[in-house]
Amino acid sequence: MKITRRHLLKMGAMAGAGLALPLGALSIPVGRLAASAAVRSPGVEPFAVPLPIPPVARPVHTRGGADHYEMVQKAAMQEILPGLKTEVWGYDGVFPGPTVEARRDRPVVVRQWNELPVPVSVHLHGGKTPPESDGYPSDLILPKGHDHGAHAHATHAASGKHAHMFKDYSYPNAHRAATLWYHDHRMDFTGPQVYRGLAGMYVLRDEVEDGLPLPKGEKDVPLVICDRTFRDDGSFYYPSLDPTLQEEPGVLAHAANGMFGDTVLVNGAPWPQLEVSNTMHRFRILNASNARSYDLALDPPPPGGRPFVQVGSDGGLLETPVPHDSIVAAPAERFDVVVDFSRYPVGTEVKLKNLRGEGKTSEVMRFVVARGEREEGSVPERLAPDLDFPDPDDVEVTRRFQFIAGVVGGMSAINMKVFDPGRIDARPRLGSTEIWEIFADPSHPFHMHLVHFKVLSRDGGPPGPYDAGWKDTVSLEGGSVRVLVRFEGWRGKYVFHCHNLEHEDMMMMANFEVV
Amino acid sequence: MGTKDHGPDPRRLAAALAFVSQGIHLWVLPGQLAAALPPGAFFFLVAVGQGLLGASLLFGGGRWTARFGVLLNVCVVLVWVLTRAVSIPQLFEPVKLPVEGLGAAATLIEVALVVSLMRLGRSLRRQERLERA
Repeated sequence: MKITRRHLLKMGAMAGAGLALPLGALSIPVGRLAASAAVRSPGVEPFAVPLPIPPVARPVHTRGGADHYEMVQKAAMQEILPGLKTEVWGYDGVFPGPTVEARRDRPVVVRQWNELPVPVSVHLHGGKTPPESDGYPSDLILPKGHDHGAHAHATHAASGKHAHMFKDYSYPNAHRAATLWYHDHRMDFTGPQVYRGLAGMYVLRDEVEDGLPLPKGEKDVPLVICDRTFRDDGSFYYPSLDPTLQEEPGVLAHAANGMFGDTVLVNGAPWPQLEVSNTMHRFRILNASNARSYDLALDPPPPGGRPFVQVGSDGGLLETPVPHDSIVAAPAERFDVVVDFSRYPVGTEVKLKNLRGEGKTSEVMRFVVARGEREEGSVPERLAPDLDFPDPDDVEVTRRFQFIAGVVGGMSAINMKVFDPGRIDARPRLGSTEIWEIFADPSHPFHMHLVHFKVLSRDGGPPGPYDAGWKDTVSLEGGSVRVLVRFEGWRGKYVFHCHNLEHEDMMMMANFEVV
Repeated sequence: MGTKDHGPDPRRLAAALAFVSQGIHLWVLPGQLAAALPPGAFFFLVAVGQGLLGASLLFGGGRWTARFGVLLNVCVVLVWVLTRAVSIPQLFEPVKLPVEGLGAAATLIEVALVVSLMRLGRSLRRQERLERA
């Protein structure tokens, strides 16, 4: 066949329009994805920094029996990696935020100021709070100069109640002592805003706990565990589609199933070290990671194993202690454990490992049994009075919810519906008891606002080893759980959602309204 | 070149429609691919197909080009309609996707392209018959 000028032109046009143009367009996102996936944190020598303890917030005044606090959400520079400065968005500019120490039945009011460039919402995770103080995702505190919430998802039109510059959150604290935490809950952008530092502990105590001989004072240690990735200059790296967090929610495709950092932080320090005496210590473990689950174990294990004695869960003290070889903690779960370091000789270095991690993320921190000391604590056989679980015979309604992540990426859904602030998916009656059956595909930490629940069964069998006590977050790694919930406290609209924050931001959330 | 019908040359019209559709897919491709790989890959393949179709039509594509174009664009329109009408979590998103302006415009263009290519195919068939006679 004779090749004519026309043939050549045609071939050229087809190559140009059919291949060169699309490949050119393809190179932009492929380059962005490749660059994002290649980000690695600067190297840090593990166990080189001491474990920091977050500051304790101080009330600005007490009025009418309530403690009033003020917190300013603002950007600040913090040395997280040795020798480098990281811009954090913190409560009072620190990460993790100040710990709020509260007492049962003594209300706390926190005035939250927003000096960040984006809207915020504050959720007290595990708190039984009135709806207006629950941190509903579209109830925003707008920063100065903003007059709307800037929700990006189509169904998220400005539907919430907006406060300007500050808002008072009221927490009645009318429930059992428990390890709670507070964190950002802004619609569509919770993942990146928590990642930048908007999280802190809230420890609720009561007389029952005071009366127990559990380790106290400096031996009652919060461990806020999370993972982050840093750029070479020390700044946090989060793969937002829109790094300004103003318009487009979501993350780059490689992080659609969750942002997994390569650096493990405990209380905001990378792989820190804590010197302990050869006595019992109580650790309030919070998995504050966006998506990573941990299987925490001690290396070496103590003679006889079972190094962790679990005394509490999300909703407070267990009735009786539960020993574990390791603790599997999904995002947002809390485990209150006692470790007896008298089982190690003085001088032993004990690593807290993450059996689910690889490489650097397989280690969390290190304890050094530095000195001998007289034991003052103990773990009694009975921890808390009857936990007053609801009676399954009182169940009025059984509901089923299927959590399914987007197969092709992008949006995630519950019962095939993405979050819509205007749609109510369950209307439990105040005071009623219900069974909720949760199915997860593939794995999702299920969290309910307002209520605590008891896990009745897992995959059709008995509850798992980490399901004891009152829970507000339960891990599903595929399969299903049945939970028993009593709706009490307040009428109003609350959310339940996946606590993989990237799934949550991509709409794996739904409303229930207590009526 | 061309047919003896009045009005715009159907080949050039179809080529123009294919290029416009390609342009829309190329415009959204970077954002789609960055957020999720499968839809991004789909947009890429559509852009390649429309580009090849448009270029081929500009330089006198025949009945096979028209058939390929009809098949490609019917598939693209079906995928768009299907993902807006029903939720097929095993294949697409676990939800029905919203009807957005740019996607609707692209679909209308692709429907017009299908009509235009079918007319072109018929006209070419007539022409072939005449030439054989």
